[in-house]
Amino acid sequence: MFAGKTILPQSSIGFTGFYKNNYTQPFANFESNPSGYSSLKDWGLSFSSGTEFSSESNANLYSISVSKRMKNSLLSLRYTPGYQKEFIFKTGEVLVDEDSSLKSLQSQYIYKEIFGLGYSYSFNKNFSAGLSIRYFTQEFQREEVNAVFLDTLFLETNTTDERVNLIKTDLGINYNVNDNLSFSLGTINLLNSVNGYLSDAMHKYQLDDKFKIIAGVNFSPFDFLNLNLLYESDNSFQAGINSSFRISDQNFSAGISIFHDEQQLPFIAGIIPYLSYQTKFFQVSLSAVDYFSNRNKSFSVSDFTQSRLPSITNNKFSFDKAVFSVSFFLNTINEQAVQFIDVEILNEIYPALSDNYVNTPFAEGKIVNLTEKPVTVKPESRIKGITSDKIQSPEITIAPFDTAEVYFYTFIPDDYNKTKSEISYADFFISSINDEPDDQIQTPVLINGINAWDGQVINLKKIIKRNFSFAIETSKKILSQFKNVLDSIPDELHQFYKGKLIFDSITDKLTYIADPRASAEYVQFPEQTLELRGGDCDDLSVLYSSLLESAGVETALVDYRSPDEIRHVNVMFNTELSPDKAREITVNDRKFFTRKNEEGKNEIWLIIETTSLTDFNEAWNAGMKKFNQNALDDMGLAKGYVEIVDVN
Amino acid sequence: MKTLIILLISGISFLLNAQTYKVVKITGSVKSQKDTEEKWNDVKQGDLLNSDYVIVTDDKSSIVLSNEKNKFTLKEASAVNISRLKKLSIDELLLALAMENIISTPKPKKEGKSKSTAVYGTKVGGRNNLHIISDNFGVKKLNGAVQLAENGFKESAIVAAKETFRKYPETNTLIPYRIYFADILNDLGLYEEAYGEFSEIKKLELTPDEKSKVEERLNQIGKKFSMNK
Amino acid sequence: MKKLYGHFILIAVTILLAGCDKPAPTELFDDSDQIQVEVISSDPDDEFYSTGFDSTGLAENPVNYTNLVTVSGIKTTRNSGTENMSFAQAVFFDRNAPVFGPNGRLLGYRTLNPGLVRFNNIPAQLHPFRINFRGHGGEHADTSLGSRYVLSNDRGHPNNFLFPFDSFIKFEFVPILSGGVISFGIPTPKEITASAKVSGKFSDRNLRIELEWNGANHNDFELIIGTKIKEEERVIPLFRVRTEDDGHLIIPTNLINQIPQERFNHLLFSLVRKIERDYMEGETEFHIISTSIHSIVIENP
Repeated sequence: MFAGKTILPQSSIGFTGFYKNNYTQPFANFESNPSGYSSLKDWGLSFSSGTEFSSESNANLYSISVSKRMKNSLLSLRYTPGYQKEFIFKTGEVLVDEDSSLKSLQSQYIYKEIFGLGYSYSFNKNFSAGLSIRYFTQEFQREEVNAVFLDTLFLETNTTDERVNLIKTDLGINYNVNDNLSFSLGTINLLNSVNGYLSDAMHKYQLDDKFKIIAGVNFSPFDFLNLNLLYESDNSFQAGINSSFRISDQNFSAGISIFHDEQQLPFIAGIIPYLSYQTKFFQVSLSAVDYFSNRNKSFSVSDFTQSRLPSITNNKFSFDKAVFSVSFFLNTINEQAVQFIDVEILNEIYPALSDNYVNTPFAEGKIVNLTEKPVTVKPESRIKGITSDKIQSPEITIAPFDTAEVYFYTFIPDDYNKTKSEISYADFFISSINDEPDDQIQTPVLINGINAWDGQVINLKKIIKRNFSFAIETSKKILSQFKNVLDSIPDELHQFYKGKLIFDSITDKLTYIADPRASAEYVQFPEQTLELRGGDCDDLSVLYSSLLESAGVETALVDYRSPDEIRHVNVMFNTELSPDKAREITVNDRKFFTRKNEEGKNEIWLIIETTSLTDFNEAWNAGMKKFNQNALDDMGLAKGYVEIVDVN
Repeated sequence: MKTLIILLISGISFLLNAQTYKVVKITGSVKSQKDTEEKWNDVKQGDLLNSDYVIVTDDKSSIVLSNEKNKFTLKEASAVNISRLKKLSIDELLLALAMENIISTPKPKKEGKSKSTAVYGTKVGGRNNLHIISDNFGVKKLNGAVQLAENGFKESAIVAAKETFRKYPETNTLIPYRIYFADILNDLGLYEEAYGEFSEIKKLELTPDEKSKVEERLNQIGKKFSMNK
Repeated sequence: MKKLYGHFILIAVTILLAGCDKPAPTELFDDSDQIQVEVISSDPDDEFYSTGFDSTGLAENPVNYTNLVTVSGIKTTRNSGTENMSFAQAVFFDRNAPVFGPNGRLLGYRTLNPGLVRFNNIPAQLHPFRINFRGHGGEHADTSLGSRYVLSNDRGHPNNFLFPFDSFIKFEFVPILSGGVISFGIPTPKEITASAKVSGKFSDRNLRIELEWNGANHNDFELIIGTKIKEEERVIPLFRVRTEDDGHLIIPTNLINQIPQERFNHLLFSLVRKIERDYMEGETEFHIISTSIHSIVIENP
């Protein structure tokens, strides 16, 4: 990106070259950038200092300026101690003193520009307008010979000092057609207000206040080349060309401008070559103003009184200069590195399945890296009503300018107990460097009630394991009633008996209710099923499995999905008996199912139809019958419409 | 009149359930067990048995079943599920074998390496004939499976055998039966499955005779693989 | 990065502030009127002498010279009109006979009359030579230093002597005592003719006087500004203004407007083109002043 500096042939001089987009250095280059347009992002500070090649060179601090952008506005302030021009006239009066020494009388006219204030407003990325207010002082000191008639007559020098302050207000607009072409239009001497008394004779020595218009065009036909032209309504103009190239963060540019000034000779009064080096944080540039005419000759007073001085820094008396400028770009606001494209909620939230969301993302975001460096992004999310703090999700690194998917995980607190489902809002944040997120986005999310279930049998495991202490307590209570029985049976039959006893003790309390709602939506917790004294096949299976598990019996759920979509769930439990001990519980080998445990040993599992709330045997028969027919004979297990889901 | 009704009922039964067999002849003691019932009932000639039933013959007993499609004789000391008395297509067989694999796969261990499968079981009777007389229901079922194969239900025989090996794990080490059914796989052209089965058999304790037999089979099948490629 | 910033700013500021001179001023040379102003008599009341005929009251301080020859072609313009006068004089001072005033101040030297003087073959007359001074009590007094040789042609004394401008006047001195005739030519400057444009009022202290004359770029040119004391005939020369003989001058207002009006009225502006030189003849040295003068009297401005 080009830094910008424009040089005005007539009303001022910019000193450091002309760049793309009217970016100026130092920032507050009111003269050539009347609209104050700048691509500065936050704070900018610049200094400019130079050396004039008069009969003796001297170095001056030309200007110090500071600029601040606040959203669409840009405010600039500058102090220009170096913008001054002093003229010393030998008035032609010489005093002969009493001791016959000669004293030349002289006049000094000093013109200074002290402060400037600029304000610019960007209406959109194409159009901006601004105004500048500049404060000048003009001091006219004249020594005159004065005769004093007292006791003796003598001559003395009388100094008349007149000073007037001048405030110039100007407006400007800037229009960017696109990244490569822009136009500007501004006023010169729109509003001049003079404050202070000035004798008539001195009026013609003031700075020129003729009203002018300045128009400019800035064009970059190629990335590395920039052409510019500024034209004033009194036919002064300046034209320049510059070239730049970029290596990663750094920009090198060089250019040259020529200018014509109505009051200066020759036609092309001078050239301004410049070099600049810019990084993300600062820019330095070196430039020179070389007037083609000899500026070190003596000028006569009539040269001066011919026409009023149009500018302090660039007039026919100005000397050749070399200028050094440095600018700093200080961003206290961080640039946005990443941005959301969109976020999609992958799943409704089922609070009962809280563990899920720790491992499975509930939302997927698409984000883009806006910078030219890889960025590591920290995603966070917060769901209103569920999490009060932001929950962090794994970081990802995105290549420059690339887009990527980022996943959001969450955590549902155990004490969430709203039974009604509700639409809430999830806030998503992505941060690159700091605590402040680069971007955030909000989407609605459906949070189901605590009993909601997504219909996947594998998720019933979560519900079975939830509030396990209740299950432990309940199964303990049941089994303690049958302590005698359990004490009297062989150890190897314990698991079988637990399954039987627990089932029998809950059946008389419960009723099978086919769920009026589609059973995929709602499942009761075991405590609810006992409390409500009934439930559907899911609820009953959950209860039975929960009680068995809490009593130390290994269970699995058998999920039947018939082609016509009627789902059914049964519970299978592990008797831990080896098949050769089957006779101890049944003489019918179709009443059990063998599964290999982790060590590869076959164990007998029984499938129980939990909705058959008569007694254990009937439920066992019904369960096995259905299993044999659907899972085995019909090969549902192989075909996929019967599934065994281990609870552990 | 009664006969007519019986015939009618039989006929209807036949129409309704092609897998219903009629007991044509009984020798000795044959029992049946229905569904998930615990009790065993005696089977009499003329009984109609559908696929819910399993039948078992005592020593020196036999039973002849028939329906309009098939005829089946169950010899002594054998047991068979009536549901197995049907012809399976190769695809159905493959599906059944796949399912057996699913069922037979040990539950994944949560941590640590899986131990090698222990081989255990009791040897019952002699090894050299494929009709071991035993009280062991598993053996009886294997006999039944052999007879399924001999009666033309080769595919079903394999399924029955696999189920039996699973439910009666002590029968896993009955090498002749293992080889017999592995051979059937080979005969059916399911070389990969046969190869796999023979490889499994090779892991067991074999007599030198059995060992050479198994190795010979493996070589043969191996050649078939390379030929087919 | 912030630290780097800090360092850089510091360096940059140091470099930039290191050069904090004021920009060099541009000197402009006034190609308009150059003038050099000098006070002639700091105490107007303490004038040394009056030439009597010379209305300028020229400060030809007699103490400086031994033998003084002056020739002048004088015009005086008043409201009533312009009068011409030609004047020539020769004064021989006796350096051995100083004359002192009341405070011991040297007033001058006694004069000698060592012979005959002729200007352009016209003999000069002897006239008394008196000088004025202030006495003890501040009163006006005068004393005679002797006689001087004068040839003048004015209203009161018409004769043949006519001052020739831009020419020569033959001076002859015939000594009575030893020595031969000393004779030399006195060059005369071009005639100066001036006019004054007056605007403003003295009483308002905004009097502006613009003089114009036939400039001749003569190298010895000056303007004497004088004033006439009220109720006296004397003219006091106040300022000598040296400027270019370019035909135009605006009188610096601060010179004339400060003149106290209660004491003085009538302003006099005498433009003088002068040729001044020394002439040695043997051991006798003559100081020669040859002038063309035009005095403009502004009465009651």
